[in-house]
Amino acid sequence: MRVTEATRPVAPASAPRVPAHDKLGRLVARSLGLDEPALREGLRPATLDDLSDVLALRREHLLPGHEWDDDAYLRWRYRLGREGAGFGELWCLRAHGRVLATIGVEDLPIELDGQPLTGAQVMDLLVRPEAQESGLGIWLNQAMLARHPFTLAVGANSNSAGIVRRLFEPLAPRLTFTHPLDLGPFVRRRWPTLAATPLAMRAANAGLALRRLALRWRRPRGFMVEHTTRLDPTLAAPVPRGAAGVHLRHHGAYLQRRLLDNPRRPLGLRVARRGDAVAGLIAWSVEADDLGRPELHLIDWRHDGDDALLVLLHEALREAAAQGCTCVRLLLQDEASQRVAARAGFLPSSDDEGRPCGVQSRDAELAARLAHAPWALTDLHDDADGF
Amino acid sequence: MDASTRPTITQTEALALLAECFNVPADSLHADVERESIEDWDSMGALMLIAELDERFSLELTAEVSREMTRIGHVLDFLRAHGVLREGD
Repeated sequence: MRVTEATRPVAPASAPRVPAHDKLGRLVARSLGLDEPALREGLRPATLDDLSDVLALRREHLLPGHEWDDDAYLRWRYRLGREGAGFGELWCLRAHGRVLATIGVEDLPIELDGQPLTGAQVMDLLVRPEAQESGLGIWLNQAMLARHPFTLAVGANSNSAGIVRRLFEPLAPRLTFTHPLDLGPFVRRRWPTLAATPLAMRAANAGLALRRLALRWRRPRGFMVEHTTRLDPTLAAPVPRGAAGVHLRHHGAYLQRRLLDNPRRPLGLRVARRGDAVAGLIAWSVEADDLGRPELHLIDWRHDGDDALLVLLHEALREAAAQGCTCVRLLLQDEASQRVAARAGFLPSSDDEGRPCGVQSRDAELAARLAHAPWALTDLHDDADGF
Repeated sequence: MDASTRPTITQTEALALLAECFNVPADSLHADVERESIEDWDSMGALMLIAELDERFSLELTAEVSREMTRIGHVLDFLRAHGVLREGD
Protein backbone atom coordinates (compact mmCIF):
# COMPACT_ATOMS: atom_id res chain seq x y z
CA MET A 1 0.00 0.00 0.00
CA ARG A 2 1.31 3.44 -0.87
CA VAL A 3 1.94 5.90 1.89
CA THR A 4 -0.93 8.28 2.32
CA GLU A 5 0.34 11.81 2.39
CA ALA A 6 -1.50 14.74 3.93
CA THR A 7 -3.51 16.39 1.19
CA ARG A 8 -4.29 20.01 1.83
CA PRO A 9 -6.45 22.30 -0.28
CA VAL A 10 -4.63 23.76 -3.26
CA ALA A 11 -6.06 27.19 -2.57
CA PRO A 12 -9.08 28.81 -0.98
CA ALA A 13 -11.87 28.31 -3.46
CA SER A 14 -12.52 31.62 -5.18
CA ALA A 15 -15.65 30.47 -6.97
CA PRO A 16 -17.50 27.86 -4.94
CA ARG A 17 -19.49 25.53 -7.14
CA VAL A 18 -22.26 24.99 -4.67
CA PRO A 19 -25.46 24.15 -6.53
CA ALA A 20 -28.14 26.84 -6.63
CA HIS A 21 -30.51 26.77 -3.68
CA ASP A 22 -33.35 25.02 -5.56
CA LYS A 23 -31.13 22.31 -6.98
CA LEU A 24 -29.40 21.92 -3.65
CA GLY A 25 -32.81 21.43 -2.04
CA ARG A 26 -33.62 18.64 -4.50
CA LEU A 27 -30.32 16.87 -3.85
CA VAL A 28 -30.56 17.23 -0.08
CA ALA A 29 -34.17 16.08 0.03
CA ARG A 30 -33.38 13.05 -2.12
CA SER A 31 -30.37 12.19 -0.02
CA LEU A 32 -32.52 12.30 3.13
CA GLY A 33 -35.36 10.28 1.61
CA LEU A 34 -37.72 13.28 1.55
CA ASP A 35 -39.49 15.12 -1.21
CA GLU A 36 -38.45 18.71 -1.76
CA PRO A 37 -41.66 20.37 -0.45
CA ALA A 38 -41.33 18.36 2.77
CA LEU A 39 -37.82 19.72 3.22
CA ARG A 40 -38.89 23.31 2.55
CA GLU A 41 -41.98 23.11 4.71
CA GLY A 42 -40.15 21.32 7.52
CA LEU A 43 -38.00 24.38 8.15
CA ARG A 44 -39.53 27.04 10.41
CA PRO A 45 -38.62 29.27 13.34
CA ALA A 46 -38.57 27.31 16.56
CA THR A 47 -41.04 28.15 19.31
CA LEU A 48 -41.12 27.20 22.96
CA ASP A 49 -43.01 24.06 21.86
CA ASP A 50 -39.85 22.89 20.05
CA LEU A 51 -37.52 23.64 22.92
CA SER A 52 -37.51 20.25 24.63
CA ASP A 53 -36.73 18.44 21.36
CA VAL A 54 -33.98 20.92 20.48
CA LEU A 55 -32.47 20.62 23.96
CA ALA A 56 -32.48 16.83 23.68
CA LEU A 57 -30.72 17.02 20.30
CA ARG A 58 -28.08 19.41 21.64
CA ARG A 59 -27.58 17.33 24.78
CA GLU A 60 -27.07 14.22 22.66
CA HIS A 61 -24.88 15.57 19.89
CA LEU A 62 -23.44 18.97 20.68
CA LEU A 63 -22.63 19.53 24.28
CA PRO A 64 -21.20 16.52 26.07
CA GLY A 65 -20.23 17.70 29.52
CA HIS A 66 -21.33 21.29 28.97
CA GLU A 67 -21.50 23.38 32.08
CA TRP A 68 -24.15 25.96 31.33
CA ASP A 69 -27.93 25.89 31.57
CA ASP A 70 -28.73 25.29 27.89
CA ASP A 71 -32.45 25.91 28.36
CA ALA A 72 -31.70 29.35 29.80
CA TYR A 73 -29.14 29.98 27.06
CA LEU A 74 -31.56 29.22 24.20
CA ARG A 75 -34.34 31.28 25.82
CA TRP A 76 -31.90 34.19 26.21
CA ARG A 77 -30.46 33.92 22.71
CA TYR A 78 -33.52 33.27 20.54
CA ARG A 79 -37.05 34.59 20.12
CA LEU A 80 -38.69 31.16 20.23
CA GLY A 81 -41.99 32.76 19.23
CA ARG A 82 -41.90 35.47 21.92
CA GLU A 83 -42.22 39.07 20.78
CA GLY A 84 -39.20 41.15 21.81
CA ALA A 85 -37.26 38.24 23.30
CA GLY A 86 -33.82 37.01 22.25
CA PHE A 87 -31.57 38.38 19.55
CA GLY A 88 -32.70 36.31 16.56
CA GLU A 89 -34.41 33.15 15.39
CA LEU A 90 -33.51 29.54 15.96
CA TRP A 91 -34.69 27.69 12.85
CA CYS A 92 -35.68 24.11 13.28
CA LEU A 93 -35.97 21.46 10.54
CA ARG A 94 -38.42 18.70 11.35
CA ALA A 95 -38.60 15.59 9.20
CA HIS A 96 -39.50 11.97 9.78
CA GLY A 97 -41.26 13.13 12.96
CA ARG A 98 -38.24 14.62 14.70
CA VAL A 99 -35.83 17.55 14.71
CA LEU A 100 -33.23 16.80 12.05
CA ALA A 101 -31.24 20.03 12.29
CA THR A 102 -31.15 23.54 13.72
CA ILE A 103 -29.52 26.77 12.67
CA GLY A 104 -29.58 30.10 14.50
CA VAL A 105 -29.48 33.61 13.10
CA GLU A 106 -28.88 36.80 15.03
CA ASP A 107 -29.89 40.13 13.57
CA LEU A 108 -26.76 42.03 12.54
CA PRO A 109 -27.31 45.77 12.10
CA ILE A 110 -24.24 47.39 10.54
CA GLU A 111 -23.11 50.56 8.87
CA LEU A 112 -21.08 50.02 5.71
CA ASP A 113 -19.22 53.20 4.78
CA GLY A 114 -22.08 55.18 6.30
CA GLN A 115 -24.90 53.10 4.78
CA PRO A 116 -27.12 51.32 7.32
CA LEU A 117 -27.82 47.66 6.53
CA THR A 118 -29.23 44.77 8.50
CA GLY A 119 -28.11 41.23 7.81
CA ALA A 120 -27.80 38.17 9.97
CA GLN A 121 -25.09 36.14 11.58
CA VAL A 122 -25.54 32.38 11.25
CA MET A 123 -24.63 30.22 14.23
CA ASP A 124 -25.53 27.13 16.23
CA LEU A 125 -25.69 24.88 13.15
CA LEU A 126 -26.42 21.36 14.28
CA VAL A 127 -27.24 18.44 11.98
CA ARG A 128 -28.23 15.06 13.39
CA PRO A 129 -25.41 12.58 12.60
CA GLU A 130 -27.59 10.37 10.41
CA ALA A 131 -28.36 13.41 8.21
CA GLN A 132 -24.75 14.53 7.87
CA GLU A 133 -23.13 14.49 4.42
CA SER A 134 -26.49 15.10 2.82
CA GLY A 135 -25.62 18.76 2.20
CA LEU A 136 -28.23 19.78 4.77
CA GLY A 137 -25.91 22.16 6.64
CA ILE A 138 -25.08 24.00 3.43
CA TRP A 139 -28.76 24.07 2.40
CA LEU A 140 -29.64 25.58 5.80
CA ASN A 141 -26.97 28.24 5.35
CA GLN A 142 -28.39 29.05 1.91
CA ALA A 143 -31.94 29.08 3.27
CA MET A 144 -30.87 31.75 5.76
CA LEU A 145 -29.17 33.73 3.00
CA ALA A 146 -32.42 33.65 1.02
CA ARG A 147 -34.12 35.43 3.93
CA HIS A 148 -31.52 38.16 4.60
CA PRO A 149 -29.64 40.76 2.52
CA PHE A 150 -26.37 39.23 3.72
CA THR A 151 -25.14 36.66 6.20
CA LEU A 152 -21.99 36.51 8.30
CA ALA A 153 -20.42 33.28 9.55
CA VAL A 154 -17.52 32.66 11.90
CA GLY A 155 -16.00 29.19 11.82
CA ALA A 156 -15.71 27.56 15.22
CA ASN A 157 -14.87 23.94 14.41
CA SER A 158 -13.21 22.26 11.43
CA ASN A 159 -16.50 21.48 9.69
CA SER A 160 -17.98 24.94 10.07
CA ALA A 161 -14.60 26.45 9.15
CA GLY A 162 -14.73 24.43 5.89
CA ILE A 163 -18.19 25.78 5.12
CA VAL A 164 -17.11 29.34 5.91
CA ARG A 165 -13.99 29.01 3.76
CA ARG A 166 -15.75 27.69 0.67
CA LEU A 167 -19.28 29.09 0.85
CA PHE A 168 -18.58 32.63 2.05
CA GLU A 169 -16.48 35.53 0.81
CA PRO A 170 -13.51 35.54 3.19
CA LEU A 171 -12.92 38.36 5.65
CA ALA A 172 -9.62 39.00 7.40
CA PRO A 173 -9.05 36.24 9.96
CA ARG A 174 -9.23 37.03 13.65
CA LEU A 175 -5.79 36.58 15.21
CA THR A 176 -4.93 35.76 18.80
CA PHE A 177 -2.94 38.33 20.79
CA THR A 178 -1.68 37.67 24.30
CA HIS A 179 -0.24 39.83 27.04
CA PRO A 180 1.63 37.56 29.50
CA LEU A 181 1.49 38.50 33.18
CA ASP A 182 3.12 35.38 34.55
CA LEU A 183 5.65 33.46 32.49
CA GLY A 184 5.29 30.34 34.67
CA PRO A 185 2.72 28.37 32.63
CA PHE A 186 4.40 29.32 29.34
CA VAL A 187 7.87 28.28 30.51
CA ARG A 188 6.59 25.10 32.19
CA ARG A 189 5.13 23.95 28.85
CA ARG A 190 8.28 24.63 26.85
CA TRP A 191 11.25 24.52 29.25
CA PRO A 192 10.24 22.55 32.38
CA THR A 193 13.84 22.58 33.65
CA LEU A 194 13.97 26.37 33.63
CA ALA A 195 10.57 26.54 35.33
CA ALA A 196 12.05 24.59 38.23
CA THR A 197 14.28 27.59 38.99
CA PRO A 198 12.02 29.83 41.10
CA LEU A 199 14.50 32.68 41.23
CA ALA A 200 14.69 32.96 37.45
CA MET A 201 10.90 32.89 37.20
CA ARG A 202 10.50 35.59 39.84
CA ALA A 203 13.04 37.79 38.07
CA ALA A 204 11.29 37.29 34.72
CA ASN A 205 7.88 38.10 36.17
CA ALA A 206 9.27 41.19 37.88
CA GLY A 207 10.57 42.28 34.49
CA LEU A 208 7.12 41.78 32.99
CA ALA A 209 5.53 43.86 35.75
CA LEU A 210 8.02 46.70 35.17
CA ARG A 211 7.33 46.59 31.45
CA ARG A 212 3.60 46.75 32.15
CA LEU A 213 4.07 49.74 34.44
CA ALA A 214 6.18 51.53 31.85
CA LEU A 215 3.53 50.93 29.14
CA ARG A 216 0.74 52.00 31.48
CA TRP A 217 2.60 55.21 32.34
CA ARG A 218 2.34 56.22 28.69
CA ARG A 219 -1.39 55.53 28.41
CA PRO A 220 -3.61 58.39 27.17
CA ARG A 221 -4.93 60.79 29.82
CA GLY A 222 -8.29 62.44 30.20
CA PHE A 223 -10.39 59.30 30.59
CA MET A 224 -12.32 57.99 33.57
CA VAL A 225 -12.78 54.21 33.60
CA GLU A 226 -15.49 52.72 35.78
CA HIS A 227 -16.98 49.33 36.53
CA THR A 228 -20.65 49.13 35.62
CA THR A 229 -23.50 46.67 35.57
CA ARG A 230 -26.02 49.00 33.96
CA LEU A 231 -25.82 50.71 30.58
CA ASP A 232 -28.03 53.53 29.40
CA PRO A 233 -30.48 51.73 27.05
CA THR A 234 -30.35 54.63 24.59
CA LEU A 235 -26.55 54.73 24.44
CA ALA A 236 -25.30 54.34 20.87
CA ALA A 237 -22.29 52.02 21.06
CA PRO A 238 -19.17 54.06 20.23
CA VAL A 239 -17.57 53.52 16.82
CA PRO A 240 -14.15 54.80 15.72
CA ARG A 241 -14.50 58.36 14.49
CA GLY A 242 -13.91 58.82 10.79
CA ALA A 243 -12.92 55.21 10.20
CA ALA A 244 -14.17 53.56 7.01
CA GLY A 245 -15.42 50.01 6.91
CA VAL A 246 -18.07 48.08 8.78
CA HIS A 247 -19.34 49.25 12.15
CA LEU A 248 -21.93 47.46 14.24
CA ARG A 249 -24.98 49.58 15.11
CA HIS A 250 -25.85 48.55 18.64
CA HIS A 251 -27.40 50.37 21.57
CA GLY A 252 -27.08 50.11 25.31
CA ALA A 253 -30.24 48.03 25.63
CA TYR A 254 -28.76 45.36 23.35
CA LEU A 255 -25.34 45.43 25.01
CA GLN A 256 -26.90 45.25 28.45
CA ARG A 257 -28.67 41.99 27.61
CA ARG A 258 -25.96 40.63 25.35
CA LEU A 259 -22.98 41.28 27.62
CA LEU A 260 -24.40 41.17 31.12
CA ASP A 261 -27.35 38.77 30.99
CA ASN A 262 -25.61 35.87 29.22
CA PRO A 263 -26.51 32.74 31.20
CA ARG A 264 -23.44 30.89 29.89
CA ARG A 265 -21.13 33.02 31.97
CA PRO A 266 -20.94 36.41 33.65
CA LEU A 267 -18.88 39.12 31.98
CA GLY A 268 -17.09 41.99 33.66
CA LEU A 269 -17.77 45.37 32.06
CA ARG A 270 -15.85 48.64 32.20
CA VAL A 271 -16.86 51.93 30.60
CA ALA A 272 -14.38 54.65 29.63
CA ARG A 273 -15.72 58.19 29.77
CA ARG A 274 -14.24 61.33 28.31
CA GLY A 275 -16.03 63.97 30.36
CA ASP A 276 -19.69 62.93 30.35
CA ALA A 277 -19.50 61.06 27.05
CA VAL A 278 -18.96 57.32 26.78
CA ALA A 279 -15.78 56.88 24.73
CA GLY A 280 -15.62 53.11 24.93
CA LEU A 281 -16.48 49.95 26.79
CA ILE A 282 -14.87 46.56 27.24
CA ALA A 283 -16.21 43.22 28.47
CA TRP A 284 -14.24 40.21 29.68
CA SER A 285 -14.45 36.90 31.43
CA VAL A 286 -11.94 35.04 33.59
CA GLU A 287 -11.43 31.42 32.55
CA ALA A 288 -9.06 28.65 33.58
CA ASP A 289 -6.24 27.49 31.30
CA ASP A 290 -5.30 23.80 30.88
CA LEU A 291 -3.36 23.97 34.15
CA GLY A 292 -6.30 25.51 36.01
CA ARG A 293 -4.69 28.96 36.21
CA PRO A 294 -6.93 31.98 35.57
CA GLU A 295 -6.68 33.90 32.27
CA LEU A 296 -8.59 37.01 31.37
CA HIS A 297 -10.30 36.80 27.97
CA LEU A 298 -11.53 39.95 26.30
CA ILE A 299 -14.92 39.22 24.76
CA ASP A 300 -16.14 42.53 23.33
CA TRP A 301 -15.02 46.12 23.06
CA ARG A 302 -16.42 49.30 21.49
CA HIS A 303 -14.48 52.56 21.27
CA ASP A 304 -14.55 55.89 19.49
CA GLY A 305 -10.81 55.94 18.76
CA ASP A 306 -7.40 54.41 19.41
CA ASP A 307 -6.89 56.29 22.69
CA ALA A 308 -10.09 54.92 24.21
CA LEU A 309 -9.18 51.35 23.16
CA LEU A 310 -5.69 51.73 24.62
CA VAL A 311 -7.07 52.95 27.94
CA LEU A 312 -9.51 50.03 28.06
CA LEU A 313 -6.78 47.48 27.30
CA HIS A 314 -4.68 48.88 30.13
CA GLU A 315 -7.68 48.62 32.43
CA ALA A 316 -8.06 44.94 31.45
CA LEU A 317 -4.38 44.36 32.22
CA ARG A 318 -4.73 46.05 35.60
CA GLU A 319 -7.77 43.90 36.44
CA ALA A 320 -6.03 40.72 35.26
CA ALA A 321 -3.01 41.43 37.47
CA ALA A 322 -5.30 42.14 40.43
CA GLN A 323 -7.06 38.79 39.91
CA GLY A 324 -3.78 36.86 39.62
CA CYS A 325 -4.34 35.96 35.95
CA THR A 326 -1.43 34.52 33.98
CA CYS A 327 -2.28 36.47 30.83
CA VAL A 328 -4.84 38.50 28.93
CA ARG A 329 -5.99 37.16 25.57
CA LEU A 330 -8.08 38.56 22.75
CA LEU A 331 -8.74 37.96 19.08
CA LEU A 332 -8.26 40.93 16.80
CA GLN A 333 -9.32 41.28 13.20
CA ASP A 334 -8.57 44.82 12.08
CA GLU A 335 -5.08 46.22 11.71
CA ALA A 336 -5.86 49.44 13.60
CA SER A 337 -6.82 47.51 16.75
CA GLN A 338 -3.81 45.21 16.34
CA ARG A 339 -1.53 48.27 16.35
CA VAL A 340 -3.18 49.60 19.51
CA ALA A 341 -2.88 46.20 21.21
CA ALA A 342 0.83 46.12 20.35
CA ARG A 343 1.21 49.52 22.06
CA ALA A 344 -0.30 47.96 25.19
CA GLY A 345 2.22 45.13 25.07
CA PHE A 346 0.10 42.41 23.45
CA LEU A 347 2.00 39.92 21.29
CA PRO A 348 0.65 38.01 18.29
CA SER A 349 0.63 34.23 18.64
CA SER A 350 3.15 32.46 16.46
CA ASP A 351 1.86 30.14 13.72
CA ASP A 352 -1.64 31.52 14.16
CA GLU A 353 -3.73 31.01 11.03
CA GLY A 354 -6.58 32.80 12.74
CA ARG A 355 -10.27 32.00 12.96
CA PRO A 356 -11.93 32.14 9.56
CA CYS A 357 -14.99 34.28 8.97
CA GLY A 358 -16.87 35.32 5.88
CA VAL A 359 -19.90 37.02 4.40
CA GLN A 360 -22.21 36.18 1.56
CA SER A 361 -24.99 37.99 -0.23
CA ARG A 362 -27.24 37.22 -3.20
CA ASP A 363 -26.25 40.70 -4.40
CA ALA A 364 -22.75 40.14 -5.81
CA GLU A 365 -21.86 43.83 -5.58
CA LEU A 366 -22.86 44.00 -1.91
CA ALA A 367 -20.96 40.78 -1.20
CA ALA A 368 -17.83 42.28 -2.73
CA ARG A 369 -18.20 45.56 -0.79
CA LEU A 370 -18.71 43.68 2.47
CA ALA A 371 -15.76 41.39 1.80
CA HIS A 372 -13.40 44.23 0.98
CA ALA A 373 -14.37 46.47 3.90
CA PRO A 374 -12.42 46.16 7.15
CA TRP A 375 -14.38 44.46 9.93
CA ALA A 376 -13.56 44.42 13.64
CA LEU A 377 -15.45 41.38 14.92
CA THR A 378 -14.96 40.31 18.54
CA ASP A 379 -15.55 37.07 20.43
CA LEU A 380 -19.16 38.14 20.67
CA HIS A 381 -19.43 36.87 17.10
CA ASP A 382 -17.87 33.48 17.71
CA ASP A 383 -20.16 30.64 16.80
CA ALA A 384 -19.67 29.48 20.35
CA ASP A 385 -20.38 32.94 21.73
CA GLY A 386 -16.76 33.19 22.79
CA PHE A 387 -17.21 30.25 25.08
CA MET B 1 -30.55 8.48 -17.67
CA ASP B 2 -30.17 4.75 -17.05
CA ALA B 3 -27.02 2.69 -16.74
CA SER B 4 -26.89 1.90 -20.46
CA THR B 5 -26.90 5.57 -21.52
CA ARG B 6 -24.76 6.86 -18.66
CA PRO B 7 -21.43 8.38 -19.77
CA THR B 8 -18.30 6.59 -18.65
CA ILE B 9 -14.94 7.96 -17.55
CA THR B 10 -11.44 6.62 -17.05
CA GLN B 11 -9.84 6.35 -13.62
CA THR B 12 -7.65 9.35 -14.44
CA GLU B 13 -10.75 11.37 -15.28
CA ALA B 14 -12.47 10.13 -12.12
CA LEU B 15 -9.51 11.24 -9.99
CA ALA B 16 -9.60 14.64 -11.70
CA LEU B 17 -13.30 14.92 -10.83
CA LEU B 18 -12.59 14.04 -7.20
CA ALA B 19 -9.71 16.52 -7.11
CA GLU B 20 -12.15 19.27 -8.15
CA CYS B 21 -14.65 18.23 -5.50
CA PHE B 22 -12.06 18.11 -2.74
CA ASN B 23 -9.97 21.06 -3.92
CA VAL B 24 -6.68 19.16 -4.17
CA PRO B 25 -4.20 18.54 -7.00
CA ALA B 26 -5.31 15.59 -9.13
CA ASP B 27 -1.88 13.99 -9.03
CA SER B 28 -2.07 13.75 -5.22
CA LEU B 29 -5.00 11.32 -5.41
CA HIS B 30 -4.98 7.56 -5.80
CA ALA B 31 -7.17 4.74 -4.52
CA ASP B 32 -5.37 4.41 -1.17
CA VAL B 33 -5.56 8.06 -0.11
CA GLU B 34 -7.47 8.17 3.15
CA ARG B 35 -10.35 10.54 3.62
CA GLU B 36 -8.95 11.92 6.86
CA SER B 37 -5.88 13.17 5.00
CA ILE B 38 -7.98 15.32 2.65
CA GLU B 39 -8.91 18.50 4.47
CA ASP B 40 -11.74 19.44 2.12
CA TRP B 41 -13.41 16.02 2.07
CA ASP B 42 -15.77 17.26 4.74
CA SER B 43 -19.51 17.90 4.58
CA MET B 44 -18.92 20.51 1.89
CA GLY B 45 -16.68 18.19 -0.15
CA ALA B 46 -19.22 15.40 0.22
CA LEU B 47 -21.92 17.71 -1.11
CA MET B 48 -19.72 18.64 -4.07
CA LEU B 49 -19.35 14.96 -4.88
CA ILE B 50 -23.08 14.32 -4.59
CA ALA B 51 -23.77 17.29 -6.89
CA GLU B 52 -21.12 16.29 -9.47
CA LEU B 53 -22.34 12.70 -9.67
CA ASP B 54 -25.90 13.92 -10.09
CA GLU B 55 -24.94 16.51 -12.71
CA ARG B 56 -22.62 14.41 -14.83
CA PHE B 57 -24.07 10.91 -14.49
CA SER B 58 -27.53 11.31 -12.92
CA LEU B 59 -26.12 9.12 -10.21
CA GLU B 60 -27.56 9.24 -6.72
CA LEU B 61 -25.11 9.12 -3.85
CA THR B 62 -26.97 9.03 -0.55
CA ALA B 63 -25.67 10.57 2.65
CA GLU B 64 -25.46 7.14 4.22
CA VAL B 65 -23.26 5.70 1.45
CA SER B 66 -21.18 8.89 1.39
CA ARG B 67 -20.47 8.62 5.12
CA GLU B 68 -19.17 5.07 4.63
CA MET B 69 -16.57 6.19 2.09
CA THR B 70 -13.28 6.46 3.98
CA ARG B 71 -10.80 6.52 1.10
CA ILE B 72 -10.66 7.45 -2.56
CA GLY B 73 -10.87 3.79 -3.58
CA HIS B 74 -14.37 3.60 -2.12
CA VAL B 75 -15.56 6.34 -4.47
CA LEU B 76 -13.92 4.57 -7.42
CA ASP B 77 -15.64 1.32 -6.34
CA PHE B 78 -18.96 3.18 -6.26
CA LEU B 79 -18.41 4.53 -9.77
CA ARG B 80 -17.38 1.08 -10.98
CA ALA B 81 -20.44 -0.56 -9.43
CA HIS B 82 -22.70 1.87 -11.29
CA GLY B 83 -21.00 1.37 -14.63
CA VAL B 84 -19.43 4.81 -14.71
CA LEU B 85 -15.77 3.82 -14.38
CA ARG B 86 -14.32 2.53 -17.63
CA GLU B 87 -11.73 -0.17 -16.91
CA GLY B 88 -8.46 -0.54 -18.75
CA ASP B 89 -7.85 3.11 -19.77
